[in-house]
Amino acid sequence: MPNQQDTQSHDLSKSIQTRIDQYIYAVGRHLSPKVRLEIEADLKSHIWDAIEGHYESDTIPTLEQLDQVLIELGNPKSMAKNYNAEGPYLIGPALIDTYKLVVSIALLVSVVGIVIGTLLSPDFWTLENDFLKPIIQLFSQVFSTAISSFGMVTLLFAIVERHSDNSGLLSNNRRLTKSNWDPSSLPPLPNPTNHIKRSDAITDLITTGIGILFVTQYLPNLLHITLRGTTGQMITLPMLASNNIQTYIWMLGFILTCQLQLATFNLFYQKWHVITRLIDIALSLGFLVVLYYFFTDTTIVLPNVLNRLEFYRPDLADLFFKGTSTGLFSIFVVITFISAISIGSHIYNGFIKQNYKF
Amino acid sequence: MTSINKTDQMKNDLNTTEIQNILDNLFQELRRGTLVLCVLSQLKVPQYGYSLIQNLSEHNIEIEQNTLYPLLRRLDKLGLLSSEWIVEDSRPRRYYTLSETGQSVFIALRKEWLQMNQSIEALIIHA
Repeated sequence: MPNQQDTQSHDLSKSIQTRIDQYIYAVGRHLSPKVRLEIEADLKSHIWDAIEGHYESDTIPTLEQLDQVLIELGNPKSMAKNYNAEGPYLIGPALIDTYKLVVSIALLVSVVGIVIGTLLSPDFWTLENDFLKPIIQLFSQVFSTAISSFGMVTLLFAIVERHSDNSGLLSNNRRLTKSNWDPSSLPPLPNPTNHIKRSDAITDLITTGIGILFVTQYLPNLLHITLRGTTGQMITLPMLASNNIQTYIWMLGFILTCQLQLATFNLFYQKWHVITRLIDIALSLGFLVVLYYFFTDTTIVLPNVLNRLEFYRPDLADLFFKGTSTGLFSIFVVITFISAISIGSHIYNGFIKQNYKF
Repeated sequence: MTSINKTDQMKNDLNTTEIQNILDNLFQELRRGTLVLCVLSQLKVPQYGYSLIQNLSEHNIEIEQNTLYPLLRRLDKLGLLSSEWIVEDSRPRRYYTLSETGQSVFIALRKEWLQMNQSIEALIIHA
């Protein structure tokens, strides 16, 4: 018949085991599933070795004694960190600071851009009897855009990390030794003309991010305009052919996304290469061409949109037509001017000034 | 004058603490560079983790358990050690010992250390 002492001993043994399991769990949850079981088995053995080393092997330690052993073993997070010290990293120490900066910019631009774009949209203010719907829509748009931006940036940096040379202590990567490199293959010193200021790279990131938001969020809203008719009723007029405009949105979005990747690349390396200059020129020209066709493509405007506008708001029709034409023309001129400066700068600084031979 | 002396005293106290922090970090870095050599030197005979810690401690090499155990695992994975589970008193215990590769690496490391030691001693003895 088990006596009180036996019961107490059993309870203590159970508490000890629970505490040990808690410690092992606290370490294991920070480890990769591939190695967790093996390391947990090791740790269990080490803990019992330490207990036997401190106290007599045929007695059960108290909880306090066990805690002392665990304290000497070390903080579970520190233990896990040391087991993880060799990597591999999704995004390693060399890239992590740049990554944090780019993620912050991407999230800020996307969230602020969505909020401003939505608040400026007339549709947001016209649903008088249903104010919750646009707010819920706004939040869900902000959330989904933030998630997309975060995912895109993380994927980009993970790809860069994968292809970078990260060697840590006792790493399996091939160590750079005295014998396996040739001084004559050293890269030339960087030319100051190719240097990219950090502030310029960040500005590029922000403006490109805003551009992507405009194209993907605001441009589709041009699919219709909502106005108050002459009798006071709210009217929604479809303006653009949604099928035809989607192609342009896709192309512009793709070009701007490529420019965003390039801006991130420039932020990290902070210098122009011939290849990156050529890519930037190609993207700028591509953007201009798509924009030109977009602005001059009459099939994207629904037939008779002007007639319908004249029917509902004759006072606004002429103003709308002239305003839209002038606005689009001005936008195109400004973008062309900026692109021309950028392309000219690349050609001069990257090729003429450095006497680059193709 | 008293308040100026107190401020100087506070600055000195801060400096001492900062210096101590710097020293602690540098001592740690110094030791870290020799850990592998110390560990390999004791594994000609099979040992388990805790026994190795006690062994090193007897030779005035203090190493934290959360440093040694991951290190043993890494050395094992690199092929410098071989390990096996042995059941003693109905409890399994992993024993580590030098592999053939580990033995060669240890000899090379020891040689390098002795040479470095000589050079460093010559450098610092007259400093």
